[in-house]
Amino acid sequence: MFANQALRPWWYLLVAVLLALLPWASPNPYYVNLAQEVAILAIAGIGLNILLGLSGQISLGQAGFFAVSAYGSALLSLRLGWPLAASVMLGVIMSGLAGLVVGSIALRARTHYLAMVTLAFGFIVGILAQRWTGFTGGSMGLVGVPPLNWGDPRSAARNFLWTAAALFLAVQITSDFVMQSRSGRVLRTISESESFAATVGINAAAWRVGAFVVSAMLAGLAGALFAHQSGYVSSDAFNLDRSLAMLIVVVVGGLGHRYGPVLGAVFLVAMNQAIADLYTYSNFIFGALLLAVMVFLPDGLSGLGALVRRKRPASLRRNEAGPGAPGVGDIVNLPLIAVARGEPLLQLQQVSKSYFGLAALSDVSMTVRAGTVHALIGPNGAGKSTLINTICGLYRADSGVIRLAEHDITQWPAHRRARLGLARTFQNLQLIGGLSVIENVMLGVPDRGGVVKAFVSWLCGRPFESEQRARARALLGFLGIEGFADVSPGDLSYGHRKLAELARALAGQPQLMLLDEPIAGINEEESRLIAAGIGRLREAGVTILLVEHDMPFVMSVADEITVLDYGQKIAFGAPDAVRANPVVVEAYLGVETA
Amino acid sequence: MIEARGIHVSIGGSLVLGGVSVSVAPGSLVAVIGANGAGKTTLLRTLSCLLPLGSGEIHFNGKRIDAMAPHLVARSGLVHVPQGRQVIPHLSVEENLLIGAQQLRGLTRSARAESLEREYLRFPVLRDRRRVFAGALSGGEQQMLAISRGLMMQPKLLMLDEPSLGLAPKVAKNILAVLRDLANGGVAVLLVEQAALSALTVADFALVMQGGRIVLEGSGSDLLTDPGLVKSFLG
Amino acid sequence: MIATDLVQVLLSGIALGSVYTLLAMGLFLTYATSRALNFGQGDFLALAAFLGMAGMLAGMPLIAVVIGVAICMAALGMLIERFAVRRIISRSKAGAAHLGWILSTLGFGMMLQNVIALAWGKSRYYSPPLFSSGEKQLVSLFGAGVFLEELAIGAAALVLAGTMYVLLYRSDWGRRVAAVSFDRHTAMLLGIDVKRTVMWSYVVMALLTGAAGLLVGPLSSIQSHMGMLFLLKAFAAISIGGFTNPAGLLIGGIAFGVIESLSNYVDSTFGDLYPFIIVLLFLIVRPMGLFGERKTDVR
Repeated sequence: MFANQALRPWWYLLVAVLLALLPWASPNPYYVNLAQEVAILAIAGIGLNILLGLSGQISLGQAGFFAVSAYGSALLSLRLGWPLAASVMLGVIMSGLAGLVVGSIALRARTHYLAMVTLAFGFIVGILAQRWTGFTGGSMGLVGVPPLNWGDPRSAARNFLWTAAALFLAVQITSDFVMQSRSGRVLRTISESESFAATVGINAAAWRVGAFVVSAMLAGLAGALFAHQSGYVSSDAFNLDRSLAMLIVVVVGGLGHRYGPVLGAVFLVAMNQAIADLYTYSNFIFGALLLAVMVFLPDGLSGLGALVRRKRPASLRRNEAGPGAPGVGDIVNLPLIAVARGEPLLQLQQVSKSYFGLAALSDVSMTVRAGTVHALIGPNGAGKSTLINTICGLYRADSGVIRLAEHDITQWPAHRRARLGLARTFQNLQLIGGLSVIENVMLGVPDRGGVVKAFVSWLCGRPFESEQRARARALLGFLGIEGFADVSPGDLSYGHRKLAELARALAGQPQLMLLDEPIAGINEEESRLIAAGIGRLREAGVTILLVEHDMPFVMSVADEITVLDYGQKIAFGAPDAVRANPVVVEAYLGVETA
Repeated sequence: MIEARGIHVSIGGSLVLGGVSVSVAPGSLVAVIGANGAGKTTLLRTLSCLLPLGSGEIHFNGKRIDAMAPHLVARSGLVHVPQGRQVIPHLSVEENLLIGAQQLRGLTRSARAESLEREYLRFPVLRDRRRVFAGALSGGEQQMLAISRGLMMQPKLLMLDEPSLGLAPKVAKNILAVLRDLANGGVAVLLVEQAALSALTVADFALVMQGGRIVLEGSGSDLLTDPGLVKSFLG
Repeated sequence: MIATDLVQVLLSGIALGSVYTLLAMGLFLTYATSRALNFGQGDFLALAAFLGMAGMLAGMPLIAVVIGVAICMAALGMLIERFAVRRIISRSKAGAAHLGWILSTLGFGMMLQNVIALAWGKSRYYSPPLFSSGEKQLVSLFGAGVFLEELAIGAAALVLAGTMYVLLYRSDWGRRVAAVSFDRHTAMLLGIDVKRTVMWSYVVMALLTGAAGLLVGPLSSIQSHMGMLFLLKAFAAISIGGFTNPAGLLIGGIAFGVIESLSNYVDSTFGDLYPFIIVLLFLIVRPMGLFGERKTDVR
């Protein structure tokens, strides 16, 4: 839609004007009422889209959040005579608190468990609304809830539409910003892999709960609008069907797509009108739609556009400058903690780790000195992956001490270690499919706040997050893949994906890089490229700990090598010494048994 | 028994096997050795049709099998004992043994009982523990179970992925001796091992893999003394 | 609470709980073979209940009703596996796609629910008894008069559950399910037709659900939109009992039925609220671990 960023504010202004003119454009008040419904549904839908489409958490109980705020605001204004602005705000906050509770529970549950938790929440709120008649009026309802009409009953419909439309536009704009900026990237990352998110310094738990709170507040905003739309609130409005309707809105519109909720809301309201005579078939039709969309069109209505559009070619202009074009030092010389070259940077003291009584690491001690390339090798099942995961914090050591510079990080969670400058790449590549290559790299760039500033720049159509973007682009250039910046990682060759991951790890200005099989599965030309890159990083003062099976590669890049076998350190030393060590040869080739 | 020619396989855009050919005759034991990540496991998974073939041909028992469903390949006598044993932990030893044989059509109950008896003779410890959950066995016992479970399916070709991994040398030696006996009895055996030296001592013929290709091949005893062997592992 | 009342309340709970157990077994099976649950399973239950009621009211013999419902359910089981599950789990990638089966089976269930509502409307129905003759035929149990129907239903459900255990633990089919559940590829290497095993697990799930539907009719009123509530209760049974061990399903199902029955006896207004709160507490205290170890999603 916004082919040209600079036009962004004008587009929004245009939409605002169109929405403002809507009451006059509609032939009769009935359509104004439909537009109100679309706005309410779209607001709730945007909330669920952030939760389900971005953070990957399902909710079958959005009607619960909707109800909390609807009752909260209705009762505050009806019984205590609060002004609507205040009662709506408090209602939304109450829904947010409910979201905080459910979101915290959600931390302990995934997929179908989460579906059941939210379903139970929805039922609980539904039962309370229906049975606690003294408070909620039950299915007879609360009558005489002050309508939101700006004190002018004659223009009630118009005034309500303006309010709802303005709120919708504000929510949509905010959601647009989220989708295009860091928070959207973070949520998509968490949705694909929480452990990976932690290794780039993301506090996944906080973000997951946050997504729940935001989606609950938006459902609550919709609920409060609903309560003050007609002035009548009945418990019948908060059953499972409403939760399902919200789900249909985002799924049919297109999960994770910017305009999915509003498309879905228009579609749902239009369908309900089109099939008004077929009202009795509505569940069948919506059920079939849900099924069909999930099976045939996972991107919903938003995906239809993409089907028509030509797929972008994978190879764009290739940056032929090759590695090292920008000054390496400019990119990687910002250490967060300074340790003199040659001094110990990472120290492991008698680290042990076992699963189900099986020792994967026993009393491993090793030292990685600053500014060196240290290789970790060993046959299958030696414990190399476990050691890497224990160092980066995905696993917690059973005993022993891990130090990074002067910090004892043994008990730190992975995201804290990452923020201290510990970056890693993965044996099974971890690139987020929903993000472009440059956005993947930007994940690694530390967050320096400034959300408000970024939002204002973004809204005014000026470049935003430009510092992060420039840095990510420079890194891609450094590794010779700048031409692929805007491509989806899935369209890259395996070797280029490896390089993109390396760029992301570099983006965090790491003290220590953990490279898990950096050249596995790539061709010789590409592995030479990576070897050259590692050499250059070493010159720039970055310390590297790598696991790799390709021995010629290891021997050519490593300063020091630690050899593991059966979870124990069996050798340590310079490449030549390790290669000649009979213990190592035996670990690799076994012994002649005949 | 099996003949595979020019096998190419890519996984997730990365070429894992780049033109591997291998053949095993009935009664012979062929070893495939090589360091981690050389593509040995991928080779076995491709031969048993778990992975789609990029290009190349696989003939088994005179039939081309590379488009067949893996469970039918297994039933036709190409038996693959996967890495890490993969015994089913919540079934007893005897149930694990029976489960594969039960999928064979036209195998009589008495024939099944005979095979069971034969396996209990081969590894008496399995008879002692036949009511025990497979998950409670030691690593060596699990490996014996996995091999016996494969043999219950009356293989014409038995493929094993690192059977000695994580086992004490004595147990590993015992298992290799069993494999040698099987080959002597007429079964074609394809053995993938990282512990090269012990595998070479029992193999009739061996292939050394590196980076998805075969870099060295020859009889087991020739390779034992070949200086290229250590180089292919340690650079 | 009067002692005779207690016997009746307990029996009601056990009867209802054994129905939850049958549903939970269905959930367990499909999760074992396909790592997916049928979120429309409750609607399967409702359809079976209504079909059963219609058959009984039409004066069909019980055996004919059972066979008719079984055929319908088996066909639906095959359909949902083929159209709502297979394609989605086979292309399952990261992100929201791993939720795809929740939404598709939910959609399938909504369609069924609508079919029920079209045929029978949305009001409450009371199914005629399956086993006893009169409305409220009483028999004596521990000195207390209890409903024969509930006793018979509880017994029938427990016999079915017992049969399932025998099948799971003692049959070739049960071993195939165990193998597929452990690892699809290993199962293939053992000559097991994984696709077929998955499909059959959905058929058996549908049959179990059908049985539960027939049995639940005389126990409680039935309604076109009762499905989700029962699905949630069956899920609660699993979360109490534990998913890794099918024996836990029986304990969990009965425990939940009894808790529900007791809380409705104690507080008729908010009685059905407490079980949900207990569900939530269980999901909080024993999350995820029920299906197995929580693993990190990268290596």
